[in-house]
Amino acid sequence: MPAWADEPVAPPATATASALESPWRVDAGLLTGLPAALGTGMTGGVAAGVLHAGTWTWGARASYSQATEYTTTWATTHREIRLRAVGALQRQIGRGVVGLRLGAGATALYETRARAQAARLGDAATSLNTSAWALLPGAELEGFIALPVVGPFGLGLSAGPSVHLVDGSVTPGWLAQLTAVWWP
Amino acid sequence: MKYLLPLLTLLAVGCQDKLLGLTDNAVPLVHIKVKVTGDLQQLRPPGTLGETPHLRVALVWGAVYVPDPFCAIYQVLPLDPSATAVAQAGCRDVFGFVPAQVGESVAVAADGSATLDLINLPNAAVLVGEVTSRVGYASILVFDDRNDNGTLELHRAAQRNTGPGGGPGGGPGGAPLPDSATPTVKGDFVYGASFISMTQPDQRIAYLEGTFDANNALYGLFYPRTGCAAGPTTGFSILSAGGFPALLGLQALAGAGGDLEDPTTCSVKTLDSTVTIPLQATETVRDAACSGGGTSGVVRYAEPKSQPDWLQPWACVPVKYSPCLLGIPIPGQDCSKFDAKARPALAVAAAPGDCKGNTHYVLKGCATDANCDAPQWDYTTPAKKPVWWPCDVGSTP
Repeated sequence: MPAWADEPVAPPATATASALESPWRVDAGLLTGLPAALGTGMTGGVAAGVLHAGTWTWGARASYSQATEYTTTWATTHREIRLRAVGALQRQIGRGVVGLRLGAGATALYETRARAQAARLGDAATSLNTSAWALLPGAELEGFIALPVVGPFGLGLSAGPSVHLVDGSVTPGWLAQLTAVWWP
Repeated sequence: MKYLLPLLTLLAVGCQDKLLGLTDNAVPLVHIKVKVTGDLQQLRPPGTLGETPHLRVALVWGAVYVPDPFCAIYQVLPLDPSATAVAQAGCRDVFGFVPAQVGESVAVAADGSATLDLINLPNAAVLVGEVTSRVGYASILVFDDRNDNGTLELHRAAQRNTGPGGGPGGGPGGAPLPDSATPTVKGDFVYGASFISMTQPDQRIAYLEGTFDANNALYGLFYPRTGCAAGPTTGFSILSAGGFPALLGLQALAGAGGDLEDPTTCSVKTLDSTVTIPLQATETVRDAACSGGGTSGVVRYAEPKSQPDWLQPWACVPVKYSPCLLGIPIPGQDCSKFDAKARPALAVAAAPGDCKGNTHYVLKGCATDANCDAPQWDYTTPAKKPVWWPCDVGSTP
C-alpha cells in the first residue's frame, strides 16, 4: 500500500473561504439587456459595481452599453450609461453568495440616427442625421450569485427585470450581467 | 433616498430631448422642383376625354441603351427608302432616353408646380462607372396616371396588342375606342419629359458618386454630352444641353469622336433650380416611357413561321452591318469581298402602338446571329422555303 493512502484529504483553500468575510465586493464584466428606449434589439456593453455588506447591504453600479437597430430609412444607435444606487438582500450558501439586488437611478441615453443612403450623397446630406440626449429614470431587480474561485477572486452572475420611464410611460425590459468579482 | 426618485424624475423631464428611436419618418434626401406648362386638355386623345386626368410627374432613371445597327443606320441615313421607312416606323429614336426604373412620383398642382421628394437614391443597376466614380441620368416624365395608382407604368413594345385600352386613344394600336366601349386596360400616357432625346434640348437629372472623369470611355457611351465643358457635380445636379444632329451622333457611335454638344447650350445647375417641362402630344414623347427590348445593340432574328403583317412597312435588309455597307473606306479593311447588295433578312415594322418595334425574319439562322454555325432553323430548301418570302435566300458570310 502506498504511503500517501493514509494521508488525510486536504481541506478547501482557506484563502477562498475567507474571501466571503470581506464586507466589500467589487465586480466588473459584461452586460446585456433590452435597450432602455429602443423597444427591440439587444444592448451590449460593460458594467462594474461595488457592494458593501453590513447592517445594510448597499452599493453602486455603472454600465455602458449600446445597440443599433435599422428601419428602411434610418440606422438608430442608442448608447446608454446606467448609474444605479443599489440595495441588496444576500446570504451565504456553501462557498457562494446568492441574493436579490435592487438598483435605482438614471440612464443617460445618447441617440444617433443616421439616414440611410445619406452617406452616398456626401456632406450635403449629413445634416439629415439627428442626435438627442435623454436622462431616463430606471430601476432593476436582479437575482445574483457570486462565487469565489481563486483566493479573493471569483465570478458573478446576475439577471432580472428592469423598467425605465420613457416619455412618461413605464417601459419594461431586462438585464443580465456576467462579471469577475473581487473581495478586497 | 426619499428625494431620489422625484429628483431623477425632474432631471428626466428637464434634460430629455425627443427620442425618435425607430420611428420610420422617411425624410427626403433631396427635393426636385418641377414646373409643368401648357394646356393638357388640348393634347388629350379623343378616347380619354371622358376620363378625369391625374397629371403627375415621375423621376425615371435611364437605361444603358445600345441601338441595334439596323435602327442606327437606316433611321439616320437615307440609304434605302423602304428600310428607312421600317426604321422610322419600327425603331425608337436611337438617341432617345430609354427608361430603366421609375422612381418617385408626385401629383402636379393646379398651377403646374410639383416637388419630387427623393426618399431613395438610384441603385447600382442604373449607374454607370466604377464604385469611386459612377453616374446615373434621369428624365422627369409628366404623365396622366390613368389608372390612378400613383406611379408610372412603363410600356413595352411587346404589349402593343395585348388588349384594348393600352394605346393612345384607349384602343389597340392607338385607335380611339368606340363610344360604347369600355377600356379594360388603362395605360399611363406621357405628355412631357425633361429629357426626351439627345437630339433635342434636354434637362436631365444627374446623380454622381465620386468625381466625374470626362475622359472615361464609359461616360462617352452613356447619354454622352461631349463638348459640354462641365460635367455633373457630386450628388444631384441638373444638366442641360442643346442637343446634337443625329448624323453627328451616328458618326460618334462609329468611332469618329469629336464633340457632340454646342458648349454655349450647356449648363450645370443645382437642385435649387426648377425644371420646366412643356406639355406636348403624347405621340411625340411616348418613347420616353417605353422600356425593354433592343437595348443590347444586337439585331434579334425570328423564324418565318407565318406571314408578317404586310400592311406595315417592310424591307429586305442585310444581316451584316459593316462600314463597307456605308461605303466608308476603313484602312486595313477589304470591302471588295463584302456583298453590300445582299438582303437576306425581312424587316417588318410592328403595328403602331404605345411603343415601336420591328421584327427581322431570316430563312436560316439563330436568334442573335443570322450567320450562326449551328442554325436554330433552316427554311432555305425549296421544300421549306415560304412561297411568300420576298428576300434573298442566303447571306454572304
